[in-house]
Amino acid sequence: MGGEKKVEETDQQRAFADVMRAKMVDFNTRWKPVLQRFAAHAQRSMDPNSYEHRRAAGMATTDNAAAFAPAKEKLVASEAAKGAFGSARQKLGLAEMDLDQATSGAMAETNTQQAVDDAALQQMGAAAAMGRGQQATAVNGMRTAADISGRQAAQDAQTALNERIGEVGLAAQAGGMAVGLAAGVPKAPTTDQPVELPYQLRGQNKY
Amino acid sequence: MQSPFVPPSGMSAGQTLAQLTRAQWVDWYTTWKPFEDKLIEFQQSPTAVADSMARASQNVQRSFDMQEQSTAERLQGYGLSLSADESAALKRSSGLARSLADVNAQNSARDMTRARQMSILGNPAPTVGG
Repeated sequence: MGGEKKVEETDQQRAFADVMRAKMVDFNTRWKPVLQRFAAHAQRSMDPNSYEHRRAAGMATTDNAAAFAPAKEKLVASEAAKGAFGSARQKLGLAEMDLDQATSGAMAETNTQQAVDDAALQQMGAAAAMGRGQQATAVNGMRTAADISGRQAAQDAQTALNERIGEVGLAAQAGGMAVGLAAGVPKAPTTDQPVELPYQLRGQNKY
Repeated sequence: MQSPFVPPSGMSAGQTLAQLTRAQWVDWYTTWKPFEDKLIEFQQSPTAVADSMARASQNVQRSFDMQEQSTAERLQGYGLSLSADESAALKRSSGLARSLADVNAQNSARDMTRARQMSILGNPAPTVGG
């Protein structure tokens, strides 16, 4: 009768599970620490007082000073070449050049801070995307597991079907014999014929 | 570092795959979800824009303070000094330049921070008025 029948896993299924397990171990030992460091770095660099922000601000200030220094020297040299140096126009001209430098420096610092924030956020996004990839793999894993259990269910159904067919076949055989005996003409048993599976199961099992 | 969730060898294929799936889910939840949460927190932060504008304003104030000091020292180096009228004129133009730079920097920081917040959703904020 159709008692509980455990379907043995195939070698391919076991090999597949072994490979998946090995991949998980490999990911955990080699890649996960790298990804975690990357993600932690991204998170740290979002802090306005992070090294990245301070370095960017320092570079912006240095670049600004380096760009304005020659211009200031040129202004002083050209004014001094005219002879008298020290008029109100010249003094205020020099001072206003400093104001230009202050404006430029502040905007450069703000923009570089924003650029660092942009980069940090992109890295955070990349870290989250890595996680989403893993999440997708987990969901795919569920699908694979579902596929396997689906295939197992199909195998179970096939086993049950074969058992039923066997029982019905024997009954038919017995019935045929009885009818044959009654008619005096023995009938050939029909169970030697290839068994046609129901249409649904043929489709499910890709026959 | 071996995850405690990696199934031991010797399990059936079905159990191994189920355990791996659980392990991946737990790993995502404990390791990667916090990063997503951080991004979402930034996207929804009511203070991110204000903080960014405040930082931009600080940059401007610091930069102008430094330059004022530098201007005084440089003029002194050339043996020059400003008269009262010249000082007043410089103060006016300095105040105007400082205010203008402050507004500019804060506007710029606000726009960029808002765009960054929106970019988490995959769409940069539309640029209105150039």
